[in-house]
Amino acid sequence: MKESGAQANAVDRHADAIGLAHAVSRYTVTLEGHGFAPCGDAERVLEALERAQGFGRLKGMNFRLPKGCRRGGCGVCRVRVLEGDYRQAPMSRSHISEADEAEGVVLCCSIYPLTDLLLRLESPKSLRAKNAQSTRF
Amino acid sequence: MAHTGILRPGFIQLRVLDMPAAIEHYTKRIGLHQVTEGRDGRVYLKSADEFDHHSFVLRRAESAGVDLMAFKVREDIDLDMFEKRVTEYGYAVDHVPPGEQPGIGRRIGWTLASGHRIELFHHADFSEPMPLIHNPDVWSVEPHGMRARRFDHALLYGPNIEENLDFFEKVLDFKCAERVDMENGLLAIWLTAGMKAHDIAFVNHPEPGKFHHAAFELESWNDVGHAADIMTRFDISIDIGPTRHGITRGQTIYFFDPSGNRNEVFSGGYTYYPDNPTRTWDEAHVGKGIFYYERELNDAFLSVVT
Repeated sequence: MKESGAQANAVDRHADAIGLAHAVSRYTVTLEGHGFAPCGDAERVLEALERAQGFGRLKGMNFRLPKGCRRGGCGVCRVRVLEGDYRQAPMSRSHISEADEAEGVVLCCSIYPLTDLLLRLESPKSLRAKNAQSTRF
Repeated sequence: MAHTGILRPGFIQLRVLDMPAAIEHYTKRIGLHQVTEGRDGRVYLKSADEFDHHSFVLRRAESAGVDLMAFKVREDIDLDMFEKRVTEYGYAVDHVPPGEQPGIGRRIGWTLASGHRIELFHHADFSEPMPLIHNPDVWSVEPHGMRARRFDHALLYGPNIEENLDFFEKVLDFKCAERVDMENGLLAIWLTAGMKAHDIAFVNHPEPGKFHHAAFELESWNDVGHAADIMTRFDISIDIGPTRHGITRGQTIYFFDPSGNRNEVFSGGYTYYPDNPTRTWDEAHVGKGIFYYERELNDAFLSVVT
């Protein structure tokens, strides 16, 4: 039993290495006005966009993609989902209210695509508060 | 014993969005141990190299960030002395009964001008695992994960840090080890109650009560490299590093827990004596003050907080 288990693990690892272990669905995430990124169904949308920018695929974007904690806490990567379905991980209510959520405003670090997606960047709440207060930075 | 009054950071309480993910991160990855879970669901953690009951508290909430940071005082009577001094400074002091957190005695607390809650306590039960005392081996249980040795310090963001500086120096007897002054005012302060380069730090920021990071101390620069290996292997979100701070000289990585709260692991840093002058940084050099090798702030340093 032990040996066959080890063999199964080895087969799994090999399958993993050649991309067969998980039937990964890939979707296209389009950032309105900036370009698009291929994104796996188990991949955070922000991380797919970061990779796309690294490869020079967000050609319409002449600034650094807003990214912060990548885990739903800091609110920097707010977007509005204009088209498509997604599943989501927990996001801080300080940055995404229930009303935001109902309208499809999310933190793109904490969503995973279920279909192709069309997104529009939204400015983070903290940034809007900062601009309103005209801070020293 | 020269060291009286406030000894060191005792514990910090953070809000997390997903408790099972947070426990996995702080125990399996950072290398802490879970001491207990309270009836209200808060989870109490410690390093095996710490004696006291716990040093890190997780509370499930709808938003990430910091609830409070507590410092340990040397004698119980110090709590009464500090209550008098804090009250005289003009801050309202409240009382937290013993046992509100398991293993911790009575606490006093108040809110800083930056919007953060600070508490003091004296009594903490010991809890297992903890360092050996008689013929002590270097550890009792084998270090795991990033091998964090202690919760070391926190950096908090909020307004009015000039007042925080005045308060910590005059009322809590802290010293300012380092500061950054921009052309338009004070940007940041690193404060110490003892001989570490910092126990708590503040950066000026318009929103009150914000959290930048909680730091864990590691044994060596090699362990910082080992921590970086763990971060990549387990897909932990990295902010910056491994690198070094000019300020405090710590060798460091900034990264994020599964709720987006920033963590730091670091080793080194200089020894601070209370007669040392405050080290100062100006706007032209703050980049290498914060990140000594990159010599510039990354986008996230001033803007990404919980």
